[in-house]
Amino acid sequence: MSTATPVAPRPFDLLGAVAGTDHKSIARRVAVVSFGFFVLGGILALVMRAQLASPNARLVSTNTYDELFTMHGSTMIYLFVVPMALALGVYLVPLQVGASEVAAPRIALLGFWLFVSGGLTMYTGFLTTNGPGKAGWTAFDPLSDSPHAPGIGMDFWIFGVMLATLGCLLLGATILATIVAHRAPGMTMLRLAPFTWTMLVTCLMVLVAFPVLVVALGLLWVQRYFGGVFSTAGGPVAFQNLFWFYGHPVVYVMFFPFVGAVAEVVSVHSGRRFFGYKPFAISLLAFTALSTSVWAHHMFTTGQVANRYFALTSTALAVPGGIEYFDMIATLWGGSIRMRTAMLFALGFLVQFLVGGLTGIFLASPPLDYDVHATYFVVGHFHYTLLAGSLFGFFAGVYHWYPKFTGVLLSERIGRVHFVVMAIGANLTFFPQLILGYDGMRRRIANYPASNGWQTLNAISTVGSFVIAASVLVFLINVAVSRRAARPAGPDPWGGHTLEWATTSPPPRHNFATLPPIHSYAPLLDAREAVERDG
Amino acid sequence: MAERWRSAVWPLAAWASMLGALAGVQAGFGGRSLPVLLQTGAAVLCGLIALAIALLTRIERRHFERGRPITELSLPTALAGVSLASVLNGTTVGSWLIIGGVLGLALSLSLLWRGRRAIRGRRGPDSVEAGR
Repeated sequence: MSTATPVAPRPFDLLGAVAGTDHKSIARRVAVVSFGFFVLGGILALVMRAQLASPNARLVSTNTYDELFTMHGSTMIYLFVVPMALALGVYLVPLQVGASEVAAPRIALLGFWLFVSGGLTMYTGFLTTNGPGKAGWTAFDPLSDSPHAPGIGMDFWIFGVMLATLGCLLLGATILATIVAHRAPGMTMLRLAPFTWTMLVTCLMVLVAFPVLVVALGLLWVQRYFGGVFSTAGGPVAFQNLFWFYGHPVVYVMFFPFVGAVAEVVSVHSGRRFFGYKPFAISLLAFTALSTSVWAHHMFTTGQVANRYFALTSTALAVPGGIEYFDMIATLWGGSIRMRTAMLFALGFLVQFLVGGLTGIFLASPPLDYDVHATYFVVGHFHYTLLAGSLFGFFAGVYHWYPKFTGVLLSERIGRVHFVVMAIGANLTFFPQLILGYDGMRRRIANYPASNGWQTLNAISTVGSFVIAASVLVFLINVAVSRRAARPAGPDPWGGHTLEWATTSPPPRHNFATLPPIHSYAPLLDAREAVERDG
Repeated sequence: MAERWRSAVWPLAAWASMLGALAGVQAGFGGRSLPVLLQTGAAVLCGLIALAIALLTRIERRHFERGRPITELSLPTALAGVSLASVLNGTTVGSWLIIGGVLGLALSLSLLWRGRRAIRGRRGPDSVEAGR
């Protein structure tokens, strides 16, 4: 047990919390607010799962259920995973490239406030007569048109998503500009940390995809009030094209940063240099190009897109994805693996995301997709990628970098409990959904008859969702306990490889007093190896 | 610095090329006009960003040699964010919110402009990032 003096908590600075431009402070604020939205979105999911636990349940009305799944999906995507992924980037990228600040701090601050305003706007819908948005997180026209979704709650949803997306666009732009223009001397593109590489490709997708959603939602608002935009022949499919041009790349915006986090965790906690760094970087670029070329696999059943092309690109994703998996497994191979909580979550990510990826191959094939389209198979698939995948990658990153963010260590013992409970919960919740979908259970239904025989699997899924909620509670307990214990982490508790570990924890205002020489993506590992070599 | 910028161009140029090639393949597969246009637009946008980075090299070099002034707190920026949201929501809620938002935006922009002039006149930004 550590006998070091506990770290004194920092006093709360209200003005700094509102208007501070330090990238670390902005990132912390984005992370805290988005985690708050995650809890809200999780509560909505629990109500939905409680409704589906038994056939013909009457816990909520069909209308309320529509609102719940809309707000749950919207919260998790627009207000939690995307901003959280970008928050990690805003905090870590300047540190990893050796910069003293993010490229445009005030733009990042503006991004934070647009994101917060967007979230609050979206939730304001609950206070309106007709309730919040209820057309799903995709808001397909005509479901989102004024006759089908009347009232200003749907307008608030549109504006909320526009604002949050604009905010995230600005955050992404500042990260990209930081990578392009603020790298330390010696930090070439092929010396960027793996996490920074994943943020680079993430921000490229943010830059090309997010404006399209903002435009699509602006047009949707015009359609609601004036008509004539999507009410023409082919209009709804045009909206779907615009939406999914955002909607599929965003899946990878919610994936790549956590791949980067897992890559760093795997490398540091197995004490090895990351295997296949250059193929990893090149595969990321190819992966990103393909990711921006697969959106219409969500539209196979419309018959209005080039199914063969989108099936080809969607299946081809397995190649760069396979290279990244290979690199991470090869890094583990022969390493001195330390099974800390961060590593457990990283391994959980690798295994569970694989389930999401493999079920995705089914959906990439038009004949199979026609069969399971809009069923719980799809729900199970994307929850395996987003919750069982990205969220595990997120927690791998949290346990890895929390000491850097705060200067204190999280409890490993509680962290292991957190991992075990969350892994059980995730698989209990989402594996039955794959079977239910294969059996024909449609998504977005508030009820199902007892005669379908879906009750047992739905009940298991509901129990699993409450287990996930319990695991989040365990994490919050861990944060509270660790804050109280305040065990100092020191600048580099894990023997890190990249530049963020070369400064204090948490880093000072301008990040670095001095920088080590940079000859590879892992300057700290280089320095340690040089010391060992020279005796 | 110029070298640093130039080396950042290749991933963007590579990505733009890949997107352009994929847009061509989609057209070859009989893709409809909107999907092909979206993908081509993404390729062009990324290509333009790469070009802008390549062209802006000189400007950024001057910027860094001077050292970059950094504002520690920016209330006007926070106000601008909230005001933008007010203007947008005002289109549904009512004109009073639009007016409030526009006033907030005007105030925040004027404060930002004043701050910029103060920094240009070397009347002391909060801190200065070291030039490299």
